[in-house]
Amino acid sequence: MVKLENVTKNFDEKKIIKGIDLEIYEGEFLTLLGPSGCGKTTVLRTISGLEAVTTGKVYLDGIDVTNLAPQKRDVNTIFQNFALFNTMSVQKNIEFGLKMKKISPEEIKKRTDDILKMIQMQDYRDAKPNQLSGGQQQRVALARGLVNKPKVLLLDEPLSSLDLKLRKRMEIELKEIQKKTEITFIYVTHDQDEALSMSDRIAIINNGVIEQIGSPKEIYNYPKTLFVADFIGESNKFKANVQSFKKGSALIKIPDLDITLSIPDDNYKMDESLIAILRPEQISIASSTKQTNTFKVKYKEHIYNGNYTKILGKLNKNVISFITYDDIELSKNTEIKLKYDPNDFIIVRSK
Amino acid sequence: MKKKIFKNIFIILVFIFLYLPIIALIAFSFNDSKLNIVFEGFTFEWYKTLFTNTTLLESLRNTLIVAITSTVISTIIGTLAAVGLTKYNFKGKNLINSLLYIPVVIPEIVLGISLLSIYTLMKLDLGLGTLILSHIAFSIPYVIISVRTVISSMNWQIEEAAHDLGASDFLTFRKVILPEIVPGIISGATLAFTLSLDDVIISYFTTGPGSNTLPLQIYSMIKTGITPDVNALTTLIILFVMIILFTSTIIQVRKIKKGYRV
Amino acid sequence: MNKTLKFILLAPVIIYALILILFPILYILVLSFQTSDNYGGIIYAFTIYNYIRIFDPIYLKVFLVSGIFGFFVTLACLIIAYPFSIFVSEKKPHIQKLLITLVLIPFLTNSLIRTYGWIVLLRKEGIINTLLSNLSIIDNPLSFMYNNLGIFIGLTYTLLPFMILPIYNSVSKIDKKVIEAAQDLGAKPLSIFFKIIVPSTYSGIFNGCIMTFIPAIGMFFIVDLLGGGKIMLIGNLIKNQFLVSRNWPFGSALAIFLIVVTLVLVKVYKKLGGKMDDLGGF
Repeated sequence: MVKLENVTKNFDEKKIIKGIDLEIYEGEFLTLLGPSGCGKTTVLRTISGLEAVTTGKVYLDGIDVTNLAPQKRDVNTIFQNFALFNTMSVQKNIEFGLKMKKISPEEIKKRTDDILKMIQMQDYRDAKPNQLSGGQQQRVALARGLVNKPKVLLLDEPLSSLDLKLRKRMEIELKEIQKKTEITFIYVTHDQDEALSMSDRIAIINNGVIEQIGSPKEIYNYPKTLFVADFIGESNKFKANVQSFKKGSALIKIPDLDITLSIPDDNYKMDESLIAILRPEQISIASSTKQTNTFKVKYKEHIYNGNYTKILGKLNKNVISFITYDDIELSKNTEIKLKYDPNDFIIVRSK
Repeated sequence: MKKKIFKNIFIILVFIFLYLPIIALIAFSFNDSKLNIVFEGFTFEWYKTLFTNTTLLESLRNTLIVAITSTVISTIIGTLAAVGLTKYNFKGKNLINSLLYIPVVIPEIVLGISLLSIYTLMKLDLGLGTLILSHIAFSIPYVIISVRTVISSMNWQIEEAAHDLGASDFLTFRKVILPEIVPGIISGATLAFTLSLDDVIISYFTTGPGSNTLPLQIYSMIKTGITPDVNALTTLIILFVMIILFTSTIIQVRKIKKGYRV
Repeated sequence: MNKTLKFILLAPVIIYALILILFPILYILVLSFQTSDNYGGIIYAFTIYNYIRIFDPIYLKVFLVSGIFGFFVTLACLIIAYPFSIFVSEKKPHIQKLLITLVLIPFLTNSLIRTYGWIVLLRKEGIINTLLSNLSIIDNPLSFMYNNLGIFIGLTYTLLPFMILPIYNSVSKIDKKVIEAAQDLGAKPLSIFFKIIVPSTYSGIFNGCIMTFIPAIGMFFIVDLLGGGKIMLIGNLIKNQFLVSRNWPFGSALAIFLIVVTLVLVKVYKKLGGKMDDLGGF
């Protein structure tokens, strides 16, 4: 549905996007996720046409739209702070795009009525946007885009100005609306929870390039780079290095845990330094009799979190965090024996 | 408590100072004495003779023609300029921006004599035309400042939103940006209109024979002898200004109060 | 970007700024270096004589008198406007709005008409003298006008709103919490006033002073009407050079001098952190 071919974008010599290739399929919910300033909003704006690319091509439904004005692209954007027209009523806001397309009045009325019903705002059609609550404004902004039945709907951090509770509810609503309308959604956010809960696929962007693209599960369970592992979820990191090679696999040693692992070779070099990662939930307290795949940490502090407790302990210079569902009370520097499963290790290059 | 009384008295005294000459004029407009000196009794006579004083009425007409024409033109140019100067960058933009402050800061007399000089250089006949041109000259910067204040608090994303929804640059300007800045345009136009009505100094230099505005007419009358119907006319003007200002203030005060409820 | 729209938005203001602002100012700059032929004509020959002539004692005296008048009028306006603005800003928001409108009303009726109102009040047979003699406080009428006092009253009166508006704007922007914090930290009212309130209104004060001082030395008609032609400020001098003696080059030199003074004051204002858009006072 949307294809970016080696797209770059410079602002005054500063490279914001450094060559992005991306294909987005029809009807999918794709999220561009990354820290602020990584270029994710710029990627979105090259698709809407609000930003011209420096080099590269943008295809929409197979057609090259690289040099097409935003008015002529069959995509619509939901802006971060909604950008509603406060001088017009809710209904006028929603009709705006249809009128610009010179659609017949009967069709405009039908579509507007339908969408107002879908977002449950029939009673507010004559209200001005600045008289509405944040959630209502959000819905109107969404309706104003959706009513045009665009091929792609672009959403630029649309939930960032809402409070936590409303944000959670809107996440569900957004996903439902996307399923119902079957419109391709491209969603920009810096919030990993939003990305994980709504997306079909996530593209992690850092420093103007895509670090990894895949389903939320793939991204969380099999991060390919240290950045992705760090950005999505919490990571306990252990230094490792390549010891030897054997029939397509590499033997690596993790000194802190005193263990040697065999992993598939990924063109590693001899002595290359790697990072082995365990998620906090993959570490737990071991019984005193267990001998293998264990290590000891000194208890530092714990963070009570409702149904579970996160415990921070120290292993040499590393802080290790793990989760327990039991009620435990420990004094500082008590030794705790922890266990893990070597199959859980995620191995990434250290750079 | 004592402090509060002192403060209120101070405020009242300032207002007495501000209104004293106006009240004097209003009172004398009902004075039954031709000499305009001592108050002798109540009369409406001067309001009647006012409507037969053709010189005075003609100068009032000139004032209104100049004020309305210059307000309309300077509001249009000023509004376009405020949007253009915020939206676009171009060579010499800084020069234009600094030039715009000149009519605001330099003494009016300097603007007056410099306009007079170029009109003479260009051999323009001094009259209503040059008056209107001069009033446009000092009004435009005030309109730009008024509109720009509103623009600077505007969310420019709505412009992109309109483009995104398929509106051309022209339609975006007309349907989205213009309605958004209407409050600034209104206050700019009001300002231009009142500045034009109030102007003495620049008009003094740039008018020609036979096109006196009301202030200039009164200026020459004060020197040669003023008739009481001038008091009647000024009373009517003051009333007119008060009504306009009060309605606009009441609307604004209501808005402020509404703002508290929401 | 749409070139036609850019042209429509910008062409009028560029033409305006060049023809009605830049050109006139440049032209009087040129004029100020020419010579008058004594019959109102201009002899186009470069000279700096007009600028030397400014330092003739006769004219230096006009500058001195203008400066003194400007100073005292500005000071009087400041002394009235500052407490007034503070007291008004302590009222409820809609009362504040109302009071400021009440300040604006006389300001928006013609200044010449109001000056005429003062004549009605101040002249020998005027309201104030009549009142005082009817109350047997005075035997002979006092002279309030056709002297320095008349000019002083007239200028202070006319320019007071120009001082009130910028000062009120900056006073009303002071965060009340900062004052409460100072009280909380044990500051006395007087030190709150001088250490917190006054410093945070410096640009408003200077704004008001510029908007009072500069017009004060240029408002020739108030000086004419209430001073009775005995006293001359720079405004009257320039007016006379243009309309009476018809020595435009010298009048232009005086105007250029006023522009320079103004620009220096504006520079200081900007140094103090003032914004140009606030200078209009509106």
